[in-house]
Amino acid sequence: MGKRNGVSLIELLLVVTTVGFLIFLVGNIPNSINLVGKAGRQSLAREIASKQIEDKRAIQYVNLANGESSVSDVRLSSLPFASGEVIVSDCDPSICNHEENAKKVMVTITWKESTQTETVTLETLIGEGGLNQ
Amino acid sequence: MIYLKTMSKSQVGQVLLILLLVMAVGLGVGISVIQRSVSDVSTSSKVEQSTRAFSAAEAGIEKALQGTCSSDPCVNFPENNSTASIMGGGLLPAEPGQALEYPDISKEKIAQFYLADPATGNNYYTQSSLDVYWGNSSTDKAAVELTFIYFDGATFRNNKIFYDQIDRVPSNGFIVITANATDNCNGNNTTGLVGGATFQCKKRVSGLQANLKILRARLLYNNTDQPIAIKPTNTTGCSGCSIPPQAKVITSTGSAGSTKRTIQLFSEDAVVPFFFDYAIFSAGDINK
Repeated sequence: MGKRNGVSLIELLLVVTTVGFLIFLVGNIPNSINLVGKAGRQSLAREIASKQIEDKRAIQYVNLANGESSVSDVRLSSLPFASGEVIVSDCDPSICNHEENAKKVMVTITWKESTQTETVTLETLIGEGGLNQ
Repeated sequence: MIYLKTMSKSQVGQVLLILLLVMAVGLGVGISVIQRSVSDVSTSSKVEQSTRAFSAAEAGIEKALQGTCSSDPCVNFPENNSTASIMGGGLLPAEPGQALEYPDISKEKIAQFYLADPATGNNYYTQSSLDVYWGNSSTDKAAVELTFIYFDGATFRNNKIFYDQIDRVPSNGFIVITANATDNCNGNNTTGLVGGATFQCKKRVSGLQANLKILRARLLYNNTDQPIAIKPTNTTGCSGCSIPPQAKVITSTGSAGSTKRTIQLFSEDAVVPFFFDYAIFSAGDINK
């Protein structure tokens, strides 16, 4: 048998599979880059929410009034269509069942991630004479 | 002819080789981008969970500081999918004769131990000796300054004692610990508290005055935070040989998703900040 010209079946299969896999990878790259951005925005939202909680802790308990207020943080502008609110309310009786002097603070940061809305919520209690008071 | 034949033979499969190389590079780049995105998303969601758990743990501490926890978990935020459980909260030392261990303190910070009843000021620990434990490093050797505040019948006075592990500066007159049955700096001392620290030094301080009120202890020369503790010399069968219950250790574990965060709080009522030591407890008038 003499040597034949052309490509062998094995070579062809190898090339087709690898090209297919490469196309799959390249197709996924934009999606991956989006995910990296999303992760960054989620971290930023979490940072903003933590900062709000810390700010509330720095307020004296007697000056901590119930109610809703919107979050003002320059970093919010880095998130698309972002808004945030802080809700201070009396501690839920199911938690504060001994009428403790404590307030529940809930911070919600909302922003748009392409089509859907993403939210980060942090909840904590601030008590009279408690942490940082 | 011979030359051409050799060339064509050596070029067989070169395209395949180059293709494979290009693909290997492409594969590497693609996989690294995908892997980075996956790890970023997982990290950010874990950090977010961890922050929620931390907020819940802080809420647990706030709740425990306000009063008792009758249920477990102590704090439950169903809308935020986070909870907190509390351990501890009773006054320490819990048992008569037990030691009281302070969490690690930095150089020149104060650990304050009440030797009288913190609420009334009445005498509580009336022994003439007390075991002091400090330090946790054989390389970063801490010295200790003990200030016993006592009432001599007419006025409050203080008695300062300094101990060191080595004769560091002979002129400062610190007492160097010499190993014997009650004192040593072998780095293997425990107070007998369950889950307690291991201390570098142990010293039995004797010849204490009557009407002891407060012991303020300060670590010197250490670069890292190190623990300090006191323990009654006689632990059983005597009166006035217990340290008054005075401190609270609250451990709050917040959970969100699969993440847990634990905060431990050591609290003592009415402690004068360390920078007042040379003012309020000074012998003479304060002049600016």
